[in-house]
Amino acid sequence: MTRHIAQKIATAFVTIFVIITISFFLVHIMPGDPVIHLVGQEEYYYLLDNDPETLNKLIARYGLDDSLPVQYGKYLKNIVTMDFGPSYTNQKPVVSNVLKACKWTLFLSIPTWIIGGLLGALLGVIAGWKPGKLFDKIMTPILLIVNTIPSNCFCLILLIFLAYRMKLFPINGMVSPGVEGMARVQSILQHMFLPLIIMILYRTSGDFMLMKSAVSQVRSEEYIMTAESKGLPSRKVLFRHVMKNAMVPYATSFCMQFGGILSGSMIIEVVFGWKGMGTILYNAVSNRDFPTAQFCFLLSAALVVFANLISDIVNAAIDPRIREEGIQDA
Amino acid sequence: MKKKTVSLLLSLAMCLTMLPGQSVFAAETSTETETEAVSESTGNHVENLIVGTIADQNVFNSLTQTDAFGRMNYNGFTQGDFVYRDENNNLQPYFWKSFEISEDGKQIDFTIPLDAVWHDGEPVTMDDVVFTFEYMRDVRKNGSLQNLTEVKVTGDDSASLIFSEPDAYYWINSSCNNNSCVYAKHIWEGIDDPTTLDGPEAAIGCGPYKLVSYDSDAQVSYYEAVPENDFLGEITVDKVTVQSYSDETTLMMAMMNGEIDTMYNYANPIDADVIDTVQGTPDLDLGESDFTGCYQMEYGKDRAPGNDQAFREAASYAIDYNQLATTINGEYGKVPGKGVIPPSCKGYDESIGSLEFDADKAAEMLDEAGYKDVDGDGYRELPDGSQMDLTVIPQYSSKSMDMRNRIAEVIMNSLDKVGIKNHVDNDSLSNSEVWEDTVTKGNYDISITLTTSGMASYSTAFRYFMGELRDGESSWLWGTIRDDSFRDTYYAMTQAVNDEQYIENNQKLQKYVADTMAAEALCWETAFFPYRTDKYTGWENYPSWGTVHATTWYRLTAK
Repeated sequence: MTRHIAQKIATAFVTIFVIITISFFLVHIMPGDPVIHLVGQEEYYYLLDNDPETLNKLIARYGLDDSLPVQYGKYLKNIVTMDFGPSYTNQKPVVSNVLKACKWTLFLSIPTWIIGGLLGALLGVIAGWKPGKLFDKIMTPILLIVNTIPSNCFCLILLIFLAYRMKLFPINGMVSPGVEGMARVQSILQHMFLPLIIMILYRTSGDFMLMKSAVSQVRSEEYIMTAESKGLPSRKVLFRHVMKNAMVPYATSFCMQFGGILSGSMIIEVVFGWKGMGTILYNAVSNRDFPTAQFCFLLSAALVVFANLISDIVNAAIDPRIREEGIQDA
Repeated sequence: MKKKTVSLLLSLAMCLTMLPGQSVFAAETSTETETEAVSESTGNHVENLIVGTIADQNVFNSLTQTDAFGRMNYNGFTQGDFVYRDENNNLQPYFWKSFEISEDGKQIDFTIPLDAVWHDGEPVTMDDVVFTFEYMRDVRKNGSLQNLTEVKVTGDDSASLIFSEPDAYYWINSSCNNNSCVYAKHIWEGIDDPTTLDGPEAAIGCGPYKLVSYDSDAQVSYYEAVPENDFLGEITVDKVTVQSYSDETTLMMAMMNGEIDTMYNYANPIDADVIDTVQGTPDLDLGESDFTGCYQMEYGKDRAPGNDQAFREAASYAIDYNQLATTINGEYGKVPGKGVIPPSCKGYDESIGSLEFDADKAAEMLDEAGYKDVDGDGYRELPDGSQMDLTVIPQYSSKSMDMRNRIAEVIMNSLDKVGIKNHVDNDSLSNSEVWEDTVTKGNYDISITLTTSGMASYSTAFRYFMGELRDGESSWLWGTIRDDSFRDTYYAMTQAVNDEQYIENNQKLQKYVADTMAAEALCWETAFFPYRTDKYTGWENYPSWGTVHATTWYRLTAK
């Protein structure tokens, strides 16, 4: 088991290195000159015509005149030292900009991941355990509809009815102006309620479908019939046999969802004016803000790989067949 | 119980992480034109005006014009702008108490107030004014000041700007849209790159308001009046709060709910489709005015068929301008005139006729000009019999590409209906630099661009049609008019020494494009900058700008 995990960790590091390299070159081969965004279009053209020396100094200051391999070397060093320099757009340190945005995204995505995951699993088990019954008949179409409506459309509908018409929630933003201390915390909770509910609904509906499908599939297996015919109480059959087997695909999906925890709420962030990771990444790519974009890619990639790793470990822990395969492979 | 525990834990975690996120600081921080006090009332001050915007609020730097702070400073807000444009688009003194441009256009004489203060309490002096011009010319490399040879101090409160070329009229007109204001010598001296200064001192100005604090998490900033800097009379708005929203829809919802009093979004009015949902809201004025900017198209004249005036004239009849007007500005859009610039612009020539849609006439004219379907595939060929397939390139925009694509679609469908084959250049849709490269090389048959209201107020849409610029300039070379007379007339307009010269040359340019059909406007729009009318009185809705401008701070009063 330890060897299996060590192998997976080594693979994860190699994967991250490959992603880092690919993202560096992808960002640099994108058409467009970052200097235009650094100085502004009007000033860029003026300097180009009248004072190219100033433009060259600026290019040198940001290391944009280095060859690609040199820039790549500097980039790797930045990763090791976690110093990505200043953002091209607001001159503040990239790491603090991005971490600040991460913090706001996590306020939405962590509760979504946990609550949506648990709720989706619970409802999915109930619907899958007794398919075709009243609960299944009600929940499946409702959550299917939620799952198929585009999130921006759903956001706007709720925004208009609950925030604008009924004034139950703030229309936009992350916190009301001019509030301090506990009132500020309360204001943040109030602002995050609507986007959070929407994200949880989407996550619940997706997880519900997955769990329902896994449970109903396992339930039709012969060994379940055997367990029932032996006279095992339904509860024991469900927890000892059905859940244990249905949990493998669900746990994989649940862990993988963790990988998207920083990048999975972009649309909702934009609609609700939530200045999180989605917004900062979008702006960084639009403005050719190389350091910010690269750090965002790095964080997202590391999380996806980490989630994949956790998923492998959890699966191995749940399913002895996977553990054994790992030992045999070794 | 468990829910309560989770909620409590969540609150606690937020409490710990949120508090450092709040950034708050206190910034203790020939015709002579003279300043006229615009405020008459001394009572009913506005306690706190709340302005909504869509711009971010992360950068608070007087010199960068970035984010909501930078944009608000186009309104004589925290900075002492030298001049401002009034509702009739005429320049008026603001920080300057008076100014006068010499007849040869090479000199501006001006006076300054002696009692103005910087927001850190230091007095504003003539030293600051001299420093500002030298800094803008030598360090910031401001293009319109490149021919400024001297800042001559002529008295305690008077000085002259002396240019080697007749640039005075051009500088003052172009600077007005560019937040040209006096900068504090004690703050900016020795700083080559202003973006590196990001402390509270970067926001210090000598405008009628000082930045008190901001909260970048809440995307809000707070300002209070500085009574000493009452350039246009008594300041009647005591405090201003600027609140940002994610888009126009949420901005309008906030206004309809009474969260904000008015809006400011630089030159970007609210879209017609959003306005339809706002209409009818009690105590809300739509802030309607004629828009000075416009969408326009230009034929690529470096190659056939755009280089054939007969083709351009025929094609102009093929385009459904009513459909274009509806697409761009809903029921408020109007079919434009052939002179491109809208009636709200300075120098508009009303004698020039309007564009017309007549597909049958277009087909007839194309036939007459030799553009016939020779091979029977349903599409016309060039007069020499070779294939014709027009390349259409809408200008790239990260924010309003959908509108430009819809405009392109209407034009392309119109041309298709009279047998003119066309396609959109997909590469140009993906990236601004790819579009720029294509348009600069003239690799297009039809380009679709936008003139903002800021550009329209002085430089005009004609700037974008130029295929050749004067020596030393190479930026924004988007057009294909390579006619010396057009170019010379354009520069004669921008370097005019007075309004009469400007208007005369502007009208020549209108006539030129109308006669040659080198380019055409696509719609004359109505602009909407809504505001609430329930609490305050004295709103003035400037055309294409809205109710937030330099005089708002002196005219608005509480009901």
